[in-house]
Amino acid sequence: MGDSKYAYPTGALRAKENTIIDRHKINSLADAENEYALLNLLRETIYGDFITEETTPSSFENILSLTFQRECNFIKEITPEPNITNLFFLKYDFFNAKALMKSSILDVQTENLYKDIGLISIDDLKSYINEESKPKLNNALKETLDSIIKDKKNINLFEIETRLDKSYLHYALEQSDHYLLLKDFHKSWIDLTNICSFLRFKLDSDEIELFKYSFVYGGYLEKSVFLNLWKEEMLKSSDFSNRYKSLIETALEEYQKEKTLEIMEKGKDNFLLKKLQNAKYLSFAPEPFYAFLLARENEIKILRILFVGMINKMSREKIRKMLRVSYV
Amino acid sequence: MEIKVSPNRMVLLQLKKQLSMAIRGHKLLKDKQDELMRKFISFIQNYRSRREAIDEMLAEGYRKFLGARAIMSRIELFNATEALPNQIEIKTDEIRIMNTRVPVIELVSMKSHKNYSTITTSASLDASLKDFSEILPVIIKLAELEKRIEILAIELERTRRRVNALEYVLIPTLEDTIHEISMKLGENERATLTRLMKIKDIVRRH
Repeated sequence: MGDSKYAYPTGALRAKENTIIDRHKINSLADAENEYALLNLLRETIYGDFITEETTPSSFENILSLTFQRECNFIKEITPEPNITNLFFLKYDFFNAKALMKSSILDVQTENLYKDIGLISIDDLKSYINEESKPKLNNALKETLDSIIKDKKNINLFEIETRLDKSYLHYALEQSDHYLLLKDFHKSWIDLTNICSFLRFKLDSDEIELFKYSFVYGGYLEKSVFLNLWKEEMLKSSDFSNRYKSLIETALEEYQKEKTLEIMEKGKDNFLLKKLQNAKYLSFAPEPFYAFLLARENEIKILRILFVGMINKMSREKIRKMLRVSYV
Repeated sequence: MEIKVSPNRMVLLQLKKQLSMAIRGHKLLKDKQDELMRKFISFIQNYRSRREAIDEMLAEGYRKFLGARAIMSRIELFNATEALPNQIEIKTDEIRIMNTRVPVIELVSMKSHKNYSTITTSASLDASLKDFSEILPVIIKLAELEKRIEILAIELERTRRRVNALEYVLIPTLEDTIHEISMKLGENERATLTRLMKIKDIVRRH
Protein backbone atom coordinates (compact mmCIF):
# COMPACT_ATOMS: atom_id res chain seq x y z
CA MET A 1 0.00 0.00 0.00
CA GLY A 2 2.53 2.59 1.33
CA ASP A 3 3.16 5.06 -1.48
CA SER A 4 0.25 3.97 -3.64
CA LYS A 5 -2.26 5.79 -1.46
CA TYR A 6 -0.46 9.01 -2.44
CA ALA A 7 -0.43 8.35 -6.20
CA TYR A 8 -3.77 9.90 -7.18
CA PRO A 9 -3.93 12.59 -4.47
CA THR A 10 -0.41 13.80 -5.24
CA GLY A 11 -1.19 13.98 -8.95
CA ALA A 12 -4.40 15.87 -8.27
CA LEU A 13 -2.56 18.21 -5.93
CA ARG A 14 0.16 18.94 -8.50
CA ALA A 15 -2.54 19.85 -10.98
CA LYS A 16 -4.13 22.12 -8.38
CA GLU A 17 -0.79 23.75 -7.60
CA ASN A 18 -0.76 25.05 -11.16
CA THR A 19 -3.72 27.24 -10.28
CA ILE A 20 -1.79 29.10 -7.58
CA ILE A 21 -1.14 32.64 -8.70
CA ASP A 22 2.59 33.07 -9.42
CA ARG A 23 4.67 36.17 -8.82
CA HIS A 24 4.36 37.38 -12.43
CA LYS A 25 0.61 37.29 -12.20
CA ILE A 26 0.74 38.99 -8.80
CA ASN A 27 2.82 41.75 -10.39
CA SER A 28 0.27 42.24 -13.13
CA LEU A 29 -2.54 42.26 -10.55
CA ALA A 30 -0.65 44.88 -8.55
CA ASP A 31 -0.29 46.95 -11.73
CA ALA A 32 -4.07 46.98 -12.27
CA GLU A 33 -5.36 50.50 -12.78
CA ASN A 34 -7.96 50.23 -10.06
CA GLU A 35 -10.06 47.74 -8.08
CA TYR A 36 -12.40 47.13 -11.03
CA ALA A 37 -9.50 46.26 -13.31
CA LEU A 38 -8.17 44.00 -10.56
CA LEU A 39 -11.51 42.22 -10.37
CA ASN A 40 -11.49 41.74 -14.14
CA LEU A 41 -7.98 40.31 -14.06
CA LEU A 42 -9.06 37.94 -11.32
CA ARG A 43 -11.76 36.50 -13.59
CA GLU A 44 -8.99 34.65 -15.42
CA THR A 45 -8.00 32.77 -12.27
CA ILE A 46 -9.81 30.17 -10.17
CA TYR A 47 -11.44 33.04 -8.29
CA GLY A 48 -13.35 33.81 -11.50
CA ASP A 49 -15.80 31.01 -10.71
CA PHE A 50 -17.30 33.21 -8.03
CA ILE A 51 -17.22 36.47 -9.98
CA THR A 52 -20.38 37.32 -11.91
CA GLU A 53 -21.29 40.37 -13.97
CA GLU A 54 -22.93 41.89 -10.88
CA THR A 55 -19.96 41.32 -8.57
CA THR A 56 -18.34 44.50 -7.32
CA PRO A 57 -14.84 44.91 -5.80
CA SER A 58 -16.34 45.60 -2.37
CA SER A 59 -17.55 41.99 -2.18
CA PHE A 60 -14.00 40.67 -2.49
CA GLU A 61 -14.13 39.00 0.94
CA ASN A 62 -16.97 36.84 -0.30
CA ILE A 63 -15.08 35.77 -3.43
CA LEU A 64 -11.95 34.96 -1.42
CA SER A 65 -13.74 33.00 1.28
CA LEU A 66 -15.87 30.97 -1.17
CA THR A 67 -12.80 30.05 -3.20
CA PHE A 68 -10.83 29.14 -0.10
CA GLN A 69 -13.68 27.02 1.19
CA ARG A 70 -13.81 25.12 -2.11
CA GLU A 71 -10.05 24.54 -2.04
CA CYS A 72 -10.23 23.31 1.55
CA ASN A 73 -13.03 20.90 0.66
CA PHE A 74 -10.94 19.60 -2.21
CA ILE A 75 -8.01 18.88 0.11
CA LYS A 76 -10.33 17.32 2.70
CA GLU A 77 -11.55 14.92 0.00
CA ILE A 78 -8.21 13.84 -1.44
CA THR A 79 -5.83 13.99 1.49
CA PRO A 80 -4.42 10.54 2.31
CA GLU A 81 -3.42 11.58 5.83
CA PRO A 82 -6.08 13.80 7.30
CA ASN A 83 -4.35 14.01 10.68
CA ILE A 84 -1.82 16.42 9.14
CA THR A 85 -4.13 18.51 6.97
CA ASN A 86 -6.57 18.59 9.85
CA LEU A 87 -3.95 20.56 11.76
CA PHE A 88 -4.56 23.34 9.31
CA PHE A 89 -8.35 23.16 9.59
CA LEU A 90 -8.18 22.92 13.36
CA LYS A 91 -6.80 26.47 13.39
CA TYR A 92 -10.27 27.61 12.29
CA ASP A 93 -11.99 25.64 15.04
CA PHE A 94 -9.81 27.49 17.51
CA PHE A 95 -10.68 30.77 15.81
CA ASN A 96 -14.41 30.00 16.00
CA ALA A 97 -14.00 28.97 19.63
CA LYS A 98 -12.40 32.35 20.41
CA ALA A 99 -15.25 34.21 18.68
CA LEU A 100 -17.92 32.13 20.43
CA MET A 101 -16.26 32.45 23.81
CA LYS A 102 -16.06 36.20 23.41
CA SER A 103 -19.72 36.46 22.38
CA SER A 104 -20.72 34.29 25.31
CA ILE A 105 -18.79 36.44 27.81
CA LEU A 106 -19.91 39.75 26.32
CA ASP A 107 -23.41 38.35 25.87
CA VAL A 108 -23.74 39.54 22.28
CA GLN A 109 -25.13 37.78 19.24
CA THR A 110 -22.55 37.58 16.48
CA GLU A 111 -23.95 35.93 13.38
CA ASN A 112 -21.80 35.37 10.29
CA LEU A 113 -18.60 36.00 12.20
CA TYR A 114 -17.29 32.46 12.07
CA LYS A 115 -15.25 30.59 9.54
CA ASP A 116 -16.84 27.52 8.00
CA ILE A 117 -13.57 25.76 7.30
CA GLY A 118 -13.03 24.01 10.62
CA LEU A 119 -13.56 20.39 11.54
CA ILE A 120 -16.46 20.89 13.89
CA SER A 121 -19.72 22.66 13.17
CA ILE A 122 -20.38 26.05 14.71
CA ASP A 123 -23.55 24.73 16.37
CA ASP A 124 -21.66 21.92 18.10
CA LEU A 125 -18.97 24.30 19.24
CA LYS A 126 -21.58 26.76 20.47
CA SER A 127 -23.45 24.12 22.43
CA TYR A 128 -20.19 22.94 24.02
CA ILE A 129 -19.22 26.47 25.06
CA ASN A 130 -22.71 27.16 26.38
CA GLU A 131 -22.49 23.86 28.28
CA GLU A 132 -25.67 22.58 26.60
CA SER A 133 -24.20 19.36 25.20
CA LYS A 134 -20.87 17.56 24.94
CA PRO A 135 -20.09 16.93 21.26
CA LYS A 136 -16.77 15.29 20.40
CA LEU A 137 -14.01 17.88 20.14
CA ASN A 138 -10.30 17.78 19.49
CA ASN A 139 -8.55 17.01 22.79
CA ALA A 140 -6.43 20.15 22.89
CA LEU A 141 -9.41 22.35 22.10
CA LYS A 142 -11.58 20.53 24.62
CA GLU A 143 -9.01 20.83 27.42
CA THR A 144 -8.44 24.52 26.75
CA LEU A 145 -12.14 25.28 26.56
CA ASP A 146 -12.76 23.36 29.78
CA SER A 147 -10.05 25.31 31.59
CA ILE A 148 -11.45 28.60 30.26
CA ILE A 149 -15.03 27.72 31.21
CA LYS A 150 -13.75 26.82 34.68
CA ASP A 151 -11.88 30.14 35.10
CA LYS A 152 -14.42 32.17 33.13
CA LYS A 153 -15.05 34.67 35.92
CA ASN A 154 -11.40 35.32 36.69
CA ILE A 155 -9.85 35.75 33.27
CA ASN A 156 -10.10 38.51 30.70
CA LEU A 157 -10.63 38.36 26.96
CA PHE A 158 -6.93 38.73 26.22
CA GLU A 159 -6.17 35.70 28.38
CA ILE A 160 -8.94 33.65 26.77
CA GLU A 161 -7.72 34.36 23.25
CA THR A 162 -4.08 33.85 24.13
CA ARG A 163 -4.75 30.54 25.89
CA LEU A 164 -6.56 29.21 22.81
CA ASP A 165 -3.88 30.42 20.38
CA LYS A 166 -1.08 28.98 22.49
CA SER A 167 -2.91 25.70 22.85
CA TYR A 168 -3.29 25.43 19.08
CA LEU A 169 0.40 26.05 18.44
CA HIS A 170 1.44 23.52 21.09
CA TYR A 171 -0.89 20.91 19.66
CA ALA A 172 0.25 21.54 16.06
CA LEU A 173 3.88 21.19 17.11
CA GLU A 174 3.18 18.03 19.04
CA GLN A 175 1.32 16.42 16.12
CA SER A 176 4.02 17.28 13.60
CA ASP A 177 6.73 15.59 15.66
CA HIS A 178 7.31 12.82 13.09
CA TYR A 179 7.37 15.15 10.09
CA LEU A 180 10.69 17.01 10.04
CA LEU A 181 9.62 19.75 7.66
CA LEU A 182 6.38 20.45 9.52
CA LYS A 183 8.11 20.26 12.87
CA ASP A 184 10.67 22.84 11.75
CA PHE A 185 7.83 24.93 10.30
CA HIS A 186 5.88 24.94 13.57
CA LYS A 187 8.97 25.66 15.65
CA SER A 188 9.79 28.61 13.42
CA TRP A 189 6.16 29.73 13.57
CA ILE A 190 6.32 29.72 17.36
CA ASP A 191 9.64 31.60 17.35
CA LEU A 192 8.44 34.24 14.95
CA THR A 193 5.18 34.60 16.87
CA ASN A 194 7.20 35.12 20.05
CA ILE A 195 9.49 37.64 18.34
CA CYS A 196 6.49 39.56 17.00
CA SER A 197 4.81 39.55 20.43
CA PHE A 198 8.08 40.62 22.06
CA LEU A 199 8.52 43.55 19.67
CA ARG A 200 4.86 44.56 19.98
CA PHE A 201 4.89 44.55 23.77
CA LYS A 202 8.35 46.01 24.19
CA LEU A 203 8.41 48.70 21.52
CA ASP A 204 4.79 49.79 21.60
CA SER A 205 3.60 49.38 25.15
CA ASP A 206 6.41 48.13 27.40
CA GLU A 207 4.21 45.48 29.03
CA ILE A 208 6.44 42.60 30.11
CA GLU A 209 3.69 40.72 31.96
CA LEU A 210 1.53 40.52 28.86
CA PHE A 211 4.52 39.28 26.89
CA LYS A 212 5.24 36.62 29.50
CA TYR A 213 1.64 35.48 29.25
CA SER A 214 1.73 35.44 25.44
CA PHE A 215 5.00 33.53 25.21
CA VAL A 216 4.56 30.20 23.44
CA TYR A 217 6.90 27.39 24.49
CA GLY A 218 8.30 24.89 22.02
CA GLY A 219 10.23 27.07 19.59
CA TYR A 220 14.00 27.20 19.06
CA LEU A 221 14.30 30.36 21.15
CA GLU A 222 14.00 30.09 24.93
CA LYS A 223 11.93 32.50 27.01
CA SER A 224 15.09 33.64 28.84
CA VAL A 225 16.48 35.06 25.57
CA PHE A 226 13.57 37.46 25.39
CA LEU A 227 13.51 38.31 29.07
CA ASN A 228 17.23 39.15 29.02
CA LEU A 229 16.63 41.44 26.08
CA TRP A 230 13.71 43.25 27.70
CA LYS A 231 15.93 45.83 29.43
CA GLU A 232 18.05 46.49 26.32
CA GLU A 233 17.64 50.02 24.99
CA MET A 234 18.81 49.20 21.48
CA LEU A 235 17.82 45.85 20.07
CA LYS A 236 20.11 44.14 17.58
CA SER A 237 19.11 41.38 15.19
CA SER A 238 22.03 39.24 16.40
CA ASP A 239 20.53 39.24 19.90
CA PHE A 240 17.87 36.75 18.83
CA SER A 241 19.20 34.01 16.59
CA ASN A 242 21.12 33.78 13.33
CA ARG A 243 18.18 31.85 11.95
CA TYR A 244 16.08 35.03 11.76
CA LYS A 245 18.90 37.61 11.56
CA SER A 246 18.16 39.28 8.23
CA LEU A 247 14.42 39.31 8.88
CA ILE A 248 14.75 41.02 12.26
CA GLU A 249 17.43 43.38 10.98
CA THR A 250 15.09 44.68 8.24
CA ALA A 251 12.18 44.84 10.66
CA LEU A 252 14.13 46.86 13.24
CA GLU A 253 15.44 49.25 10.59
CA GLU A 254 11.91 49.76 9.35
CA TYR A 255 10.64 50.29 12.90
CA GLN A 256 13.26 53.01 13.48
CA LYS A 257 12.10 54.81 10.35
CA GLU A 258 8.34 54.23 10.24
CA LYS A 259 7.45 53.04 13.76
CA THR A 260 5.61 50.06 12.33
CA LEU A 261 6.09 46.30 12.51
CA GLU A 262 4.45 45.62 9.15
CA ILE A 263 7.78 44.48 7.66
CA MET A 264 8.30 42.05 10.54
CA GLU A 265 4.89 40.50 9.88
CA LYS A 266 5.55 40.33 6.17
CA GLY A 267 8.96 38.75 6.86
CA LYS A 268 7.31 36.23 9.17
CA ASP A 269 4.75 35.19 6.53
CA ASN A 270 7.41 34.96 3.81
CA PHE A 271 9.80 33.02 6.04
CA LEU A 272 7.15 30.45 6.94
CA LEU A 273 5.96 30.04 3.37
CA LYS A 274 9.54 29.55 2.16
CA LYS A 275 9.99 26.88 4.83
CA LEU A 276 7.14 24.91 3.31
CA GLN A 277 8.16 25.52 -0.30
CA ASN A 278 10.44 22.51 0.01
CA ALA A 279 7.34 20.36 0.43
CA LYS A 280 6.86 20.72 -3.32
CA TYR A 281 9.72 18.27 -3.79
CA LEU A 282 8.17 15.59 -1.56
CA SER A 283 6.09 13.16 -3.60
CA PHE A 284 4.66 10.70 -1.13
CA ALA A 285 4.15 12.67 2.03
CA PRO A 286 1.35 14.67 3.64
CA GLU A 287 3.39 17.88 3.82
CA PRO A 288 2.60 19.10 0.26
CA PHE A 289 -1.12 19.05 1.12
CA TYR A 290 -0.54 21.18 4.17
CA ALA A 291 1.78 23.45 2.18
CA PHE A 292 -0.85 23.87 -0.54
CA LEU A 293 -3.40 25.06 2.00
CA LEU A 294 -0.93 27.51 3.47
CA ALA A 295 -0.03 28.70 -0.03
CA ARG A 296 -3.69 29.34 -0.82
CA GLU A 297 -4.16 31.16 2.47
CA ASN A 298 -1.12 33.29 1.64
CA GLU A 299 -2.49 34.01 -1.84
CA ILE A 300 -5.76 35.18 -0.31
CA LYS A 301 -3.81 37.49 1.97
CA ILE A 302 -2.06 38.95 -1.10
CA LEU A 303 -5.37 39.50 -2.88
CA ARG A 304 -6.88 41.08 0.23
CA ILE A 305 -3.95 43.52 0.43
CA LEU A 306 -4.49 44.43 -3.24
CA PHE A 307 -8.23 44.93 -2.87
CA VAL A 308 -8.08 46.84 0.41
CA GLY A 309 -5.21 48.95 -0.92
CA MET A 310 -6.89 49.81 -4.20
CA ILE A 311 -10.37 50.39 -2.79
CA ASN A 312 -8.92 52.74 -0.18
CA LYS A 313 -6.56 54.46 -2.63
CA MET A 314 -3.36 53.42 -0.88
CA SER A 315 -0.18 54.37 -2.72
CA ARG A 316 1.21 51.75 -5.13
CA GLU A 317 4.47 51.81 -3.23
CA LYS A 318 2.73 51.03 0.03
CA ILE A 319 0.68 48.19 -1.51
CA ARG A 320 3.76 46.60 -3.05
CA LYS A 321 5.62 46.93 0.24
CA MET A 322 2.94 44.88 1.98
CA LEU A 323 2.68 42.12 -0.61
CA ARG A 324 3.85 38.65 0.42
CA VAL A 325 5.85 36.28 -1.79
CA SER A 326 4.05 33.64 -3.81
CA TYR A 327 4.37 29.91 -3.20
CA VAL A 328 5.17 29.30 -6.89
CA MET B 1 -42.24 106.13 16.40
CA GLU B 2 -43.77 107.45 19.57
CA ILE B 3 -45.42 106.01 22.64
CA LYS B 4 -49.01 107.03 23.19
CA VAL B 5 -48.99 108.76 26.59
CA SER B 6 -50.57 111.86 28.08
CA PRO B 7 -48.11 114.70 27.74
CA ASN B 8 -47.58 115.80 31.32
CA ARG B 9 -44.59 116.36 33.56
CA MET B 10 -45.15 113.15 35.50
CA VAL B 11 -44.95 111.04 32.37
CA LEU B 12 -42.00 113.08 31.14
CA LEU B 13 -40.10 112.34 34.33
CA GLN B 14 -40.95 108.63 34.06
CA LEU B 15 -39.85 108.50 30.45
CA LYS B 16 -36.59 110.29 31.23
CA LYS B 17 -35.91 107.73 33.93
CA GLN B 18 -36.67 104.92 31.47
CA LEU B 19 -34.37 106.47 28.89
CA SER B 20 -31.44 106.76 31.27
CA MET B 21 -31.97 103.12 32.29
CA ALA B 22 -32.21 102.03 28.65
CA ILE B 23 -28.95 103.85 27.85
CA ARG B 24 -27.24 102.23 30.83
CA GLY B 25 -28.64 98.79 29.84
CA HIS B 26 -27.53 99.31 26.27
CA LYS B 27 -24.00 100.08 27.38
CA LEU B 28 -23.92 97.01 29.61
CA LEU B 29 -25.32 94.74 26.92
CA LYS B 30 -22.91 96.19 24.38
CA ASP B 31 -20.02 95.41 26.74
CA LYS B 32 -21.41 91.89 27.24
CA GLN B 33 -21.73 91.43 23.49
CA ASP B 34 -18.13 92.57 22.95
CA GLU B 35 -16.81 90.23 25.63
CA LEU B 36 -18.90 87.31 24.34
CA MET B 37 -17.61 87.97 20.85
CA ARG B 38 -14.01 88.02 22.13
CA LYS B 39 -14.53 84.68 23.89
CA PHE B 40 -16.39 83.26 20.89
CA ILE B 41 -13.54 84.12 18.53
CA SER B 42 -10.95 82.67 20.89
CA PHE B 43 -13.02 79.41 21.16
CA ILE B 44 -13.35 79.27 17.39
CA GLN B 45 -9.59 79.66 16.95
CA ASN B 46 -8.94 77.01 19.58
CA TYR B 47 -11.51 74.73 17.94
CA ARG B 48 -9.96 75.15 14.51
CA SER B 49 -6.46 74.24 15.67
CA ARG B 50 -7.75 71.23 17.65
CA ARG B 51 -9.93 70.12 14.75
CA GLU B 52 -6.93 70.22 12.40
CA ALA B 53 -4.86 68.23 14.90
CA ILE B 54 -7.66 65.65 15.27
CA ASP B 55 -8.06 65.32 11.51
CA GLU B 56 -4.36 64.56 11.21
CA MET B 57 -4.45 62.10 14.12
CA LEU B 58 -7.54 60.36 12.74
CA ALA B 59 -5.98 60.10 9.28
CA GLU B 60 -2.91 58.49 10.82
CA GLY B 61 -5.05 56.14 12.94
CA TYR B 62 -7.13 55.11 9.93
CA ARG B 63 -3.99 54.64 7.83
CA LYS B 64 -2.71 52.14 10.40
CA PHE B 65 -6.13 50.53 10.73
CA LEU B 66 -6.16 50.05 6.98
CA GLY B 67 -2.81 48.28 7.31
CA ALA B 68 -4.42 45.86 9.77
CA ARG B 69 -7.49 45.49 7.55
CA ALA B 70 -5.31 44.55 4.59
CA ILE B 71 -3.69 41.74 6.59
CA MET B 72 -6.70 40.50 8.57
CA SER B 73 -10.02 39.40 7.16
CA ARG B 74 -13.19 41.30 8.03
CA ILE B 75 -14.25 38.53 10.42
CA GLU B 76 -10.88 38.40 12.18
CA LEU B 77 -10.79 42.15 12.58
CA PHE B 78 -14.34 42.32 13.87
CA ASN B 79 -13.72 39.60 16.42
CA ALA B 80 -10.52 41.24 17.63
CA THR B 81 -12.16 44.62 18.15
CA GLU B 82 -15.51 43.34 19.38
CA ALA B 83 -15.01 44.29 23.01
CA LEU B 84 -13.50 47.72 22.43
CA PRO B 85 -13.39 50.41 23.75
CA ASN B 86 -12.70 49.93 27.42
CA GLN B 87 -13.72 51.71 30.60
CA ILE B 88 -13.92 55.46 30.39
CA GLU B 89 -14.86 57.85 33.20
CA ILE B 90 -16.01 61.33 32.29
CA LYS B 91 -16.80 64.21 34.66
CA THR B 92 -19.12 67.01 33.56
CA ASP B 93 -19.60 70.40 35.18
CA GLU B 94 -20.65 73.94 34.28
CA ILE B 95 -18.94 77.32 34.44
CA ARG B 96 -20.28 80.81 33.72
CA ILE B 97 -18.95 83.05 31.00
CA MET B 98 -20.65 86.49 31.13
CA ASN B 99 -23.46 84.87 33.07
CA THR B 100 -23.88 82.20 30.37
CA ARG B 101 -23.57 78.62 31.57
CA VAL B 102 -21.17 76.54 29.47
CA PRO B 103 -20.12 72.92 30.02
CA VAL B 104 -16.81 71.55 31.28
CA ILE B 105 -16.18 67.94 30.20
CA GLU B 106 -13.19 66.16 31.67
CA LEU B 107 -11.84 62.71 30.98
CA VAL B 108 -11.06 61.41 34.46
CA SER B 109 -9.68 58.01 33.55
CA MET B 110 -9.41 55.64 30.66
CA LYS B 111 -8.44 52.06 31.31
CA SER B 112 -7.48 50.25 28.16
CA HIS B 113 -7.04 46.49 28.15
CA LYS B 114 -5.87 44.41 25.29
CA ASN B 115 -8.90 42.31 24.46
CA TYR B 116 -7.36 40.19 21.76
CA SER B 117 -4.43 37.85 21.41
CA THR B 118 -1.28 39.19 19.79
CA ILE B 119 -0.50 35.76 18.39
CA THR B 120 -3.03 35.92 15.57
CA THR B 121 -3.53 39.65 15.07
CA SER B 122 -1.56 42.30 13.23
CA ALA B 123 0.69 44.80 15.02
CA SER B 124 -0.92 47.54 12.92
CA LEU B 125 -4.10 46.93 14.90
CA ASP B 126 -2.29 47.77 18.16
CA ALA B 127 -0.86 50.90 16.60
CA SER B 128 -4.17 52.13 15.22
CA LEU B 129 -6.07 51.40 18.45
CA LYS B 130 -3.35 53.20 20.41
CA ASP B 131 -3.76 56.21 18.12
CA PHE B 132 -7.53 56.13 18.51
CA SER B 133 -7.31 55.97 22.30
CA GLU B 134 -4.92 58.96 22.25
CA ILE B 135 -7.44 60.87 20.15
CA LEU B 136 -10.29 60.26 22.60
CA PRO B 137 -9.30 62.93 25.21
CA VAL B 138 -8.82 65.46 22.39
CA ILE B 139 -12.23 64.57 20.95
CA ILE B 140 -13.82 65.05 24.37
CA LYS B 141 -12.18 68.49 24.65
CA LEU B 142 -13.38 69.25 21.15
CA ALA B 143 -16.95 68.27 22.10
CA GLU B 144 -16.72 70.65 25.09
CA LEU B 145 -15.52 73.47 22.84
CA GLU B 146 -18.18 72.74 20.22
CA LYS B 147 -20.95 72.90 22.84
CA ARG B 148 -19.51 76.10 24.29
CA ILE B 149 -19.39 77.67 20.85
CA GLU B 150 -22.98 76.65 20.20
CA ILE B 151 -24.19 78.12 23.51
CA LEU B 152 -22.18 81.31 23.05
CA ALA B 153 -23.49 81.70 19.51
CA ILE B 154 -27.09 81.52 20.76
CA GLU B 155 -26.31 83.95 23.60
CA LEU B 156 -24.52 86.31 21.23
CA GLU B 157 -27.48 86.32 18.88
CA ARG B 158 -29.85 87.01 21.79
CA THR B 159 -27.65 89.83 23.15
CA ARG B 160 -27.24 91.34 19.69
CA ARG B 161 -31.03 91.39 19.27
CA ARG B 162 -31.42 93.10 22.66
CA VAL B 163 -28.72 95.67 21.87
CA ASN B 164 -30.32 96.42 18.52
CA ALA B 165 -33.77 96.67 20.08
CA LEU B 166 -32.47 99.18 22.60
CA GLU B 167 -30.31 101.07 20.12
CA TYR B 168 -32.73 101.26 17.20
CA VAL B 169 -36.17 100.99 18.77
CA LEU B 170 -36.55 101.74 22.47
CA ILE B 171 -34.04 104.57 22.93
CA PRO B 172 -35.09 106.51 19.76
CA THR B 173 -38.76 106.02 20.66
CA LEU B 174 -38.22 107.28 24.19
CA GLU B 175 -36.17 110.22 22.91
CA ASP B 176 -38.88 111.08 20.36
CA THR B 177 -41.63 110.81 22.95
CA ILE B 178 -39.67 112.91 25.47
CA HIS B 179 -39.00 115.47 22.75
CA GLU B 180 -42.69 115.52 21.78
CA ILE B 181 -43.86 115.89 25.41
CA SER B 182 -41.28 118.66 26.01
CA MET B 183 -42.54 120.48 22.92
CA LYS B 184 -46.13 120.06 24.03
CA LEU B 185 -45.38 121.27 27.55
CA GLY B 186 -43.41 124.22 26.14
CA GLU B 187 -46.29 125.11 23.88
CA ASN B 188 -48.75 124.87 26.78
CA GLU B 189 -46.49 127.15 28.80
CA ARG B 190 -46.29 129.67 26.01
CA ALA B 191 -50.08 129.56 25.54
CA THR B 192 -50.66 130.14 29.25
CA LEU B 193 -48.16 133.03 29.22
CA THR B 194 -49.86 134.63 26.20
CA ARG B 195 -53.23 134.13 27.84
CA LEU B 196 -52.04 135.76 31.06
CA MET B 197 -50.53 138.70 29.17
CA LYS B 198 -53.81 139.19 27.28
CA ILE B 199 -55.81 139.10 30.52
CA LYS B 200 -53.39 141.55 32.13
CA ASP B 201 -53.80 143.91 29.13
CA ILE B 202 -57.64 143.73 29.30
CA VAL B 203 -57.62 144.39 33.06
CA ARG B 204 -55.29 147.43 32.57
CA ARG B 205 -57.65 148.95 29.88
CA HIS B 206 -60.72 148.73 32.12
